[in-house]
Amino acid sequence: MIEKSLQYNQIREALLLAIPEIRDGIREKFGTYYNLDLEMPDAYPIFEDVLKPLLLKSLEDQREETYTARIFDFLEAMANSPDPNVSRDLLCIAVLEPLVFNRKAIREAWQHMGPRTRELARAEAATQGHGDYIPIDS
Amino acid sequence: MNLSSLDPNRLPILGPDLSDLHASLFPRHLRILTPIHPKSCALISLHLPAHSTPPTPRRVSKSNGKLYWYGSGGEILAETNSSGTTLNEYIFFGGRRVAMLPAGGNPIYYAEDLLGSSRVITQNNGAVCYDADFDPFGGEHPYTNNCPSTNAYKFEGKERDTETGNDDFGARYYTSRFGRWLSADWSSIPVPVPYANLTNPQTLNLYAMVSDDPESFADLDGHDPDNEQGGTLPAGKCPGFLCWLKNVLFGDPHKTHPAPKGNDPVGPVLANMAVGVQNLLDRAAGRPDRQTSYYSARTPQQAKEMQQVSIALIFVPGVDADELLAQLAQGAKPFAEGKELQAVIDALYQDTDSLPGGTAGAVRAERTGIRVGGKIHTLKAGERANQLRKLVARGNLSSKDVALAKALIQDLTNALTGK
Repeated sequence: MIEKSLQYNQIREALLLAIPEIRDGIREKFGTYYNLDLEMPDAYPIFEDVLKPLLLKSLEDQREETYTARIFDFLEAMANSPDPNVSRDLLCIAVLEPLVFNRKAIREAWQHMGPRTRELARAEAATQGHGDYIPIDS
Repeated sequence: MNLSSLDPNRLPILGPDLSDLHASLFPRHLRILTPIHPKSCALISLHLPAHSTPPTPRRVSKSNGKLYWYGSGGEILAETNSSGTTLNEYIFFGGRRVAMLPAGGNPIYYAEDLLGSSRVITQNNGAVCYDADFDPFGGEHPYTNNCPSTNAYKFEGKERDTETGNDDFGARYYTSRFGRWLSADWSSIPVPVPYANLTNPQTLNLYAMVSDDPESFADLDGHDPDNEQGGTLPAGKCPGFLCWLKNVLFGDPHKTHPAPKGNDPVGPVLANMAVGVQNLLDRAAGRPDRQTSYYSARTPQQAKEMQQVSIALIFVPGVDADELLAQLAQGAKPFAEGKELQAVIDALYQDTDSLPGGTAGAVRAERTGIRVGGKIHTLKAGERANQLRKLVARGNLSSKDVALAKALIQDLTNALTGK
């Protein structure tokens, strides 16, 4: 169950709770220079360097629906967060911005996105000059 | 020097001491791309002939008798009364208004933001006499306003008429009260929808200020910038000549950036300019020109334009080409020896960035009140700096990478602290 009003200072814990598979990626990416038993990298490194590639890979591989759905449920919770550090900045910088530059990925992602994530993705695509990548029937 | 007399078949590298020519060049198309570094003594400047970029209409007088006197770059250098007595003179540097010299009074000095709006004015003793914020559509919110001389140049540095409160952008008047132009955009060349970009419906509204995105774009002359020759730079999109130029100057030096070709949508005139720029950079780096032929015009209009297009790489005495190029490359993405550091750099400098300088560049822009792509990058900058500190502390980076990581940390810290 994802906390409905995600706050930035709890976002890493919430992510690990919602998508425990992310731990492997964190260990692989940061294990050589973080003591992960005692500390955790900050949110941007985790979201940009681990979650984003995981998401793109799951879209590309069309991995099992439940896994992809869990990621997008979490993104929807981020999109609904009242904390702009989460909904406006972290989500958009780390996930949506790279996504809207990838026509194939955004179209694939669109079917999994919740309404608020779609809304933010649409705005992000327009800002980045890629409004035409967003499916028309949405 | 008459630019139209230059040989269009061989775009020149111009020698030193060309300050007179510099004044005659028209740097507007590089304004977004090459913020003038304080130590920079030189810049690349591009000139498009007047009929290629239609001249911006200029106001020569007001009904109260005030006359305007313009410099060759279109900036207002002086205002006089109808009998020619000077009222105010203005000093410009790097295309920016830096000081006003009122007749019989002491000078006042301007500090502008990235959009060119006059945000702070100081007197000659350094005391701040004007301090204001502007909302995105230009509404003025002054906190201090007691300068001995009245400043009329406000939002984006354009004159705000005291009689109406409207801003004179040249091609049109703008009202910040409504956030709209007072007349529709127009083109001196008949086109179906002036300055519209048919892939961006926002530009079909001919009364909208910079396509209703004033936090990302500034208007330079009253024409919607979205479809000016060469295109502007919507974040991350690289549609034309300017974007190619940005990539060449600030992009990944290990990647090739194919120049636009004569039959590309940018057209042969800009494609020839790209050839010229590429050759100038090649020559400055001691390489042979990679393309010696230029594209042919397809219409009489293009042929006429080609006769008057010129490109100049201006060398100021004492600055050699390598130093110049190094300065121009400031803000370019660095490259590390180790892959972990490179991964952090890749996250800081992304191919989709709309500004040079990576995340630090975005933070610097945001400190002026502009949100890059509508977002704020300070948390990311701080967290990535922490990550770099961790990498350095681990102690197994190469000495070159340690220096690079420390420079990146310093750059991010400077950006976050406003240095």
